[in-house]
Amino acid sequence: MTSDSQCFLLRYVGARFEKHRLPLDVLPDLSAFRDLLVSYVKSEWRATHEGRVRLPKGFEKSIAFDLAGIGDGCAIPKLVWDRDATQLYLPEFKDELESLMEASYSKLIQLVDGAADVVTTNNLPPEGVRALNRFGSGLLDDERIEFLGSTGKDGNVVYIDSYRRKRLITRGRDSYETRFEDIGKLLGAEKDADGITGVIVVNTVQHGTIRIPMAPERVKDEFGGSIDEDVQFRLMIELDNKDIFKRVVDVFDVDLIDAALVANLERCRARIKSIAALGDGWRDGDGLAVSEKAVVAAERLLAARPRLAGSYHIYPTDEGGILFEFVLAGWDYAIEAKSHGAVEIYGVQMEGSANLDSKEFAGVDAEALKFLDSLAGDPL
Amino acid sequence: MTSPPLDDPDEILFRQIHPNFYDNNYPGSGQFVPSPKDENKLSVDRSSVTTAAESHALFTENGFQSAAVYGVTVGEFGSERLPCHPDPLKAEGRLKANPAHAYADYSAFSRSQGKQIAKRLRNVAVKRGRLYPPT
Repeated sequence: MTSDSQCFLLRYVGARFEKHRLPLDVLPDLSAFRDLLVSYVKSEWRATHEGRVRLPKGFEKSIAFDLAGIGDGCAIPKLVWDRDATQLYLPEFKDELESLMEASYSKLIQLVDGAADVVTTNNLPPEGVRALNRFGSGLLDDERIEFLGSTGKDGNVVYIDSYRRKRLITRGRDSYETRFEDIGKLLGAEKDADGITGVIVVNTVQHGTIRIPMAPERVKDEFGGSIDEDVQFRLMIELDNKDIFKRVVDVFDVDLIDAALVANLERCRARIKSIAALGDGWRDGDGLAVSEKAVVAAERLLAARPRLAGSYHIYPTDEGGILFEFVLAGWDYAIEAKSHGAVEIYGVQMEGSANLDSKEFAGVDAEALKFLDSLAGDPL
Repeated sequence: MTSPPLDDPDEILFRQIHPNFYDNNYPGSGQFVPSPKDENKLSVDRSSVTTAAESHALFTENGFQSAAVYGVTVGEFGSERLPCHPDPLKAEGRLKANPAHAYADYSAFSRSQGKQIAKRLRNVAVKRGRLYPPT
């Protein structure tokens, strides 16, 4: 909350949010943030009005936020408390509500800042937990939302990321929601006898077999004759506090991938599988067996940018990693999934002497993919 | 003692491609940089002493695997500032002698630089085409 007491600045940090772009996928965060804050305001009001169980009429409507703009740099949505709505619905509580809002925001910041603390219970009201389950659910690894103007115990701005969300939500319940994007193999396409509900069954690397609900007409028309083919999807899923898949909460996109792409993916997968099976000494007595972390990184790379699959040549490395080589836009690139899961990207010009010096990433994360995309000038 | 470097820039030096470094008939650049145990020396065979077919035959007879033979000239190694030295090998144990053996010396470069050089050398080798088996 900024000094004018009416404005909240949430700074989205991550490759997707650069050049002050805010993907539509994360817009539900803004209403979830409002609901989260309101849940605290309600608690504060009840605490200061002992004996009153019910909230004043119009309380919920009196706390309305507007999106007033997106700031420069990383995406910074500016949320402004609509004081006119308070004046309209709850004029007698206007000043009190302002102080409750400040106190609530302060408590919210404390809660997020203490996400890593070892506590077993949450002081969030149930509706707050529900709101938190929506707030930040679209964040990918290496992304975070900073509460600009706040200062945490470590002296830095307070932020929420996937890890902190999970910690906070699973204090009050045994599961949480998160985004899941991947490619899987279609195992089944079913619709109930009543014809009202349908589902496709997809095998995924990360979470095993999952069931994705959809309209029965779509199950029949699009997926019925495509068993064993590849499906690309973007979902919101529920995981338990040990990251075991529980269910699909929401479906953003599900599509079959075209046949040529599938063939390329199949070839690459088979190649990775055969490389993964190599034992120590695979190179005439030398060469370390490829590590599981390297295999996971290789599979993630394949799933993250499937359109590159047709260009890849894939090899083991002596150090237990997997090397992807491909030519793109006049350059010969290498992506090396190392044995400890890190990823190195480098390259040379095909008809020239220029080099792309080696750049290393912690894994196949948003930063690595952004760098990979930048090599072609456009998302691949 | 190191022999004087090879001085005929047009001499092709044969490089064996291990099956695991051959994907879809395309050699990996990893085969054009010395492995960690090679002490910065990339083994090759000289075309002035043997042929690609004979080089492949001797290599596999000595118990090593090779899916293909590609070639890089002394001059192409030189343009990457890699001197090549003759290094004939005598018979040792079960290994037959290899009078055509030579090596390219990567010792002036880091592993990271070596991997970029390997890409360029692989590309010139691919441009020349597979030397054995004949295409």
